[in-house]
Amino acid sequence: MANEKILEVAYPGITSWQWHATLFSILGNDENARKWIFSNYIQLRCYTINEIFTGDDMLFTDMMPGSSSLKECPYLIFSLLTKEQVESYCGNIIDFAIKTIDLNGYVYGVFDEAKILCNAEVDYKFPHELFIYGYNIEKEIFYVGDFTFGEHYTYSTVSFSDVERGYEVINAPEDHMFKDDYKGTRGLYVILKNNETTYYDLDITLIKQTLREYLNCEDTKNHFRMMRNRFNDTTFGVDVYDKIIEQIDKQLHADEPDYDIRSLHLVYDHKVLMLERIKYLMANDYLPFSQAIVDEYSTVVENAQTARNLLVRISITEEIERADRFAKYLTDAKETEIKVLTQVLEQLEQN
Amino acid sequence: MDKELIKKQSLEVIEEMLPEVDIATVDTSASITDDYDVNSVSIIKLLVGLEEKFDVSFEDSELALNKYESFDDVIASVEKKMN
Repeated sequence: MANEKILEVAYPGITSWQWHATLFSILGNDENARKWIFSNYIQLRCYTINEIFTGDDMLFTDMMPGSSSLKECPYLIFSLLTKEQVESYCGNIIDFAIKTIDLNGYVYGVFDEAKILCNAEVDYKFPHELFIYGYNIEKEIFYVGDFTFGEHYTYSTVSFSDVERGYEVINAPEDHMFKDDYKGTRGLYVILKNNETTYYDLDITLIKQTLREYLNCEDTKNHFRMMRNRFNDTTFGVDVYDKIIEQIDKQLHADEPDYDIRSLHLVYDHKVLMLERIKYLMANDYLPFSQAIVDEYSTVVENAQTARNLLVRISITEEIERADRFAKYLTDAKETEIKVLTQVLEQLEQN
Repeated sequence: MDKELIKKQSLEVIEEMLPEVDIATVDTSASITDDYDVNSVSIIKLLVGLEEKFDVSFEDSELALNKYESFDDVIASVEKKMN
């Protein structure tokens, strides 16, 4: 066992949810992985859930694939271990994580981050996924990636004892990674990078199909009914913009305004990735180069970014009267995106 | 207001809004992201602080982190609005 081992990570271009930030951290800019990434993450969906910390209604917005990507990405090897297995194999979470990292495995699981953030004992829990990618025995720290330790996604360190405390107090119903699919138990994911070989080629058929579903707001989940069919009332595709406009209006005009930017940040990340995809398709001759398309889609990215930044601003200044501008930024983004992606789809169909 | 005064007062706002930046040693031409860890949220806090200090207004589109390479760029945008 070395004194220190830190597995490779690259600061992720996409950070909207912890599962995306983790996957993109591990895969970095790997060329093979990019082919899988650009073939996916095209469809958007949203539905209302109860926020896990407050119980309030929350519009959950995500790309497809969502959190299942950590299990299903062909460039990752995924193992699921229950808490009982972890304890049986290694005795405790600290030794388990160290041994896993020694074998080049990243560790991902739900921890009570209130125990990590606060030195004093607190009487509430903050269950959140923690991504562990390294350790230092002498300093008794793990290297981790998370949103909790800064204003944005950051790589940081957490002491062995805080990780142990944060792990021990979470019970099965609080382990939201496990509770949907593995009722009554909890545990961890172990993830290995698997990008030496090409397992997945850029899938133009899938890109065209999903672009069509995105533009027509069709139910992409229907393709996965063989594995999963407990669906919420979900909105797909460009209709997600309208749901977000509605939700922001509602949250800012509540008795106690809510400045949750997560849906807007997700939409911004989606546009950034779409622009990268368009450039990639052009650079690799799947699409004819067009500066006009790049420039026009860049305005979609800018409008999504401006809408997100406006909400951050309002959260600082509490100038709720500025809220009427969201609809314009998002409606402009939606209209331009429909126009540009329709052109992109037509060109892909012709090639 | 002259440039030197705008810079001095902008640095005071930087110190207030970004306590991790030591204005005694700050290199205002260095990268705000790579060297001072300014992010998409902290830049907005800084710009809002500058708005209050100088009674200027930043457009929504000017709140983006990628509009500014350095603190010099941020200060220049204040100067432009003052003159």
